[in-house]
Parts: sequence; structure tokens; C-alpha cells
Amino acid sequence: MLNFAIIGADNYDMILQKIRSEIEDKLVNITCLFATKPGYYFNADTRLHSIEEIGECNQYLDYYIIADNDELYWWNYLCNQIPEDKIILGRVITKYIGFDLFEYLKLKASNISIISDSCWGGMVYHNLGMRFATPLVNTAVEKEDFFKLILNLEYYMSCPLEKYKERSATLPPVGILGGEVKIGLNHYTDFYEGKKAWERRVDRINYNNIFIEMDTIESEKDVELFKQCKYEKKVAFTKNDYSTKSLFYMKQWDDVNVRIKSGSFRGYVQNIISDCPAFPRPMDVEKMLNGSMDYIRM
Amino acid sequence: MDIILYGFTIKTDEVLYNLRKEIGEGSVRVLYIVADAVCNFFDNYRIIKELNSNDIEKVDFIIECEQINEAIKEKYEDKIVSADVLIKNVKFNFLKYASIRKRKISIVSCSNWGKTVYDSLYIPYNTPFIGVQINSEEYLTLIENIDLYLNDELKFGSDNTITTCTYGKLRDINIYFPNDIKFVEAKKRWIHLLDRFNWNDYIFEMDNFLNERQLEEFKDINHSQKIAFYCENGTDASLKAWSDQAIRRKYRWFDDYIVQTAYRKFDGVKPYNVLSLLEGSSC
Repeated sequence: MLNFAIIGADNYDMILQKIRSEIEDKLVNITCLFATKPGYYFNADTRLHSIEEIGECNQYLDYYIIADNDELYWWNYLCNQIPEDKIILGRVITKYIGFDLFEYLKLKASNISIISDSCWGGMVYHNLGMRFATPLVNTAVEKEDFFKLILNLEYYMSCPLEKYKERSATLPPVGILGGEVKIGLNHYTDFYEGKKAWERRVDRINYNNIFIEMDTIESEKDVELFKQCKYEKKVAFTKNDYSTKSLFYMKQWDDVNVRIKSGSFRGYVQNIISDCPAFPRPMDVEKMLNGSMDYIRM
Repeated sequence: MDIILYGFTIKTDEVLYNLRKEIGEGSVRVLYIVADAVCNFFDNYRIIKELNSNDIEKVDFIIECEQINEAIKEKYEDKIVSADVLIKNVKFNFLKYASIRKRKISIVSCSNWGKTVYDSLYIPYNTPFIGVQINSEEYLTLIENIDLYLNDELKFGSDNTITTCTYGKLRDINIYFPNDIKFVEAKKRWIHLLDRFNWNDYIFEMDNFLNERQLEEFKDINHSQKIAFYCENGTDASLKAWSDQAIRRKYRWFDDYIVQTAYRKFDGVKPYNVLSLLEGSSC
């Protein structure tokens, strides 16, 4: 049985509702609650501690869930005292519909590096409250360049990111790896900000657990190239059925109502993993990243 | 327990997620999902296009994830549960809910609490005490002799004017109705809902105590199902949070706090659990 502590009580009930199945099955025990504000009144069996006592309780606690609304403050506060991988953000539990605690803990511990050609990877890290273990965050890569990158990942990641183009009035800054692979630094103000972030994150890549993601693949040639990629864990979302596990056929896209609601295919794909998606999720993202075979739901 | 999910929306996904424990244990079985979707299966459940009327008779509940046709809704009122009930309520247990729903419990309430509970749990109203307000002293008199009062005719008190609200008279007791309706309508609704009153299973609720004596009187009433919400210098453990100034500022009135905490997504820790309360266990 794992012992959990809850920090703050703003979302206490909602968190307990989400993990009630694990609590009732006695896989999880909510051992104590650390009060982040004065004046808590409740009759639960959980022990109530003041936040200053956190150091004394460390030995018997496995994970800490931040239930206070001010997550950033308490995240920084806890990071100074306990290892980061023991902290879980409450919003991940309350907002993520298919949240499965044990699948999530497995994913968090696996230190996965998502190599994505769009914002998808960054959004997954953000929505699942995990550390960015990839430099491809807030970036975009053209299809041809992305194939070059994933077919020779270690080489390109060892190359320094050099300036290709600075931000112009309408286009984002662009960097280049090994003189060949262009990286669009879409959400950075200038190239140097993007480069700084890249250098900070590039060393975190875990080559033992790489997950490749591409938003859309449409031509046969691209399908072949994608299959050549040596990493086992990979997915590309497609509008057509290729009967391959790694090429995820978005059946629901055939539904005209879904198309009207979501506008673009890319928008639809990104919506699936967002905090509050508008459609039933065709795949279980946690299972998919963990490499389970049964992640397809429809 | 067999259920059918109507509609294929994000709510369908949430309902399946929230019921995963019951489904896993086998206490709840999803027969199929009714939707006009492009796929035939979702999480191994069949998706079919039309709701079969024979199946409606057989199943325990139909979960409304997408608007159900009004005619079907009216015909099978007792079987339809809004998906919001399963999604929005915290401290929610579907099996407990199902047994309460089947009991058709009537709530006798002096404030909005009863209506809130019915609305949040999507239980069809079966009590005339919906949206009515009664003075605490008169309410105590009424519930002491509930058979006598409810079997008497509701007489005209007043319609809404600048100085008075719409109210009716049950013998010597004033029943205050919402201001936007005339007495004639209010009476019609009162009679309609009174017909549905379940005399075998009803609960008294009171939250507007003015003094200790009233509380003692409420405790002395000879009826097993009753609940009092009160807060007196933090002595009542279940609602002692009311003595906190921050909570008082947030909710303004005690009955507002009680109503808000009865249901729906709630910030923090709910002081009591409505399902356990209606079930009669410790809440």
C-alpha cells in the first residue's frame, strides 16, 4: 500500500472522488493532510498536520498531492524539501478524465522523452504535470526534417542548435541542427530565448525511453519512412486506416459533427489530450506512452 | 444493475470513467451506448443507433449523456439519470444513489435545500415542499402533525404585491412561494406534487433554527428520518466550519452554505454527504 499526503484542501474532495477506487481497494492510503491555511474543519480519519511538519513525515510518505489552488507556490515550496518525482499536481487528477493513478505513477517514473513534431508533446507533459524531458517543447518541425531527425536522433541531438533565421514580423525564429534539420521556435520571442531553453532540456533526453509522435501522415512514402524509425514506441495520427499499431486511425474524424466542432484535424488531435477535451478520447494517452498494446478504445 | 448510455459525447467518457470501479466489480453492467457514431465499439461496449423500447423496460437506468427526446423522458421518468449527476457530484456512489432513487423518498424541507437535493440528484419531485419557505415556528407545528396539515386544503393567502409575497395558508400556517408565480399556479403545483408524496418514506429537514428550544423540539419529533443543520458556537462537529469568518464571507447565509455544500463540485471538503444522509447512515 502506498501512503499519500494531501497538501491543502481546496480540491480535497474532488481528488478523493477520482482515486476512490484505489482507496477502496486499499492500494492507496491517504495518510495525512498538510494544512496550507489556518482554519480547517473536517471529520475525516486523515491526520491533520501543519505544513511546517512536512520534514518529519517524510519517511513514511510515498507521494504528495497538491490540492491547494496555488499549485505553483506549493510546488516550489515542496521541491526544496522533497524529491520532485514524489510530487503530483492536483489538477492532473481532477481535470484529466481518464486518470489512472498507477498507470500515471508508472509513466512519471519512466522519465519518458517525447519527440514530437508539434506542440503535442509539450501539452502532454504539461497536462500530466511532468518534467519536460525533451527539448522539443513549443517547437515545430517540418515533415521532411522530422524524418531526418528521428532516423538519426542521437546524432542530431548532439549537434548544437544554430541560428537559421531570426523572428520576422510574421514568422517565428528558426534554428538548425547539423545544418539540415530546421527547428521552428514557434513560441519563443527570439532565437536566443529558444536556444537557452533547448540547451537546458536537451541533456534530459532519456534514450532508453523515447516516444516518437507525428501529428499527421498522409502519403505512402511517409508511412514507409515512419516504419523505418527504430524506436518501438511511436505514433502518428492519421485520417486513413493503415492497420498498423503505430499509425493511429482517427475514425471519429469521419463524423461530420466532430469535423465541424474541431475545425482542423490537428486541433482535434490536440483536443484529445487537453485538460478538458470536447470529445470521447479514442485512445488512452497514459497507456499509449507506457507502451501498452490496449490503448485503442474505438 | 444494467444501464444504457445515451449519446456519445465527452460525458459518455466521463461516466464510464466514474463508474469504472462498479463496472470492474460487475455490480454495474453497460448494455450498450446509443449514438449515431462512426465507430461500432468504444471500450468494448457496442454502439447502436436506436434506443430499443424493450430494452428500456429491462434496464435499471438510462444515463443521459446527450439530450433524450422529451416523449421518452416523460414516459420513462423513473429510469433516466442525467450524466451530470455522476460527473458533478463529489463523494458520489452510484449504487447508493440507485437505491435512494428507487425508494422515491419525499423530502419535507423549510427552505431551498429539498429542491437543491432533488435537482442535483436528478430525482423527480415528489413533495410539494419545492421552492417554498416556512417560518421556523410554524414549520415545527406543521411537521409535528404532518398528516393533518397535508390533508387539508391550501387556501389563498396573498398574491405578490409591493409589501407581501405570494403565500397560501394551510390552516394557521403560511406557506411562502417564489414571487414570480401567482397563488393559483402555486396551488396547482402544490396539489400535483402532493399527489406524488410518498407517505411511507419521507424525511424532515430543518435549517432555520432561531433558538435552542426549537432545536430541542425538532429532536423530540417522533419520526425516525430527520436532519437538522445548525451551528452554534462551533459545537456541531459536522458544520463547525461555519464559525470560520472566511466561509461566512464566501456564502453569506447559513442556508446558502448548506445548500451549496449539498451537491455539485465543491471547493475543499464537503461537511456532509447527501447520499449517506438520505440513506440514513452516518454522513
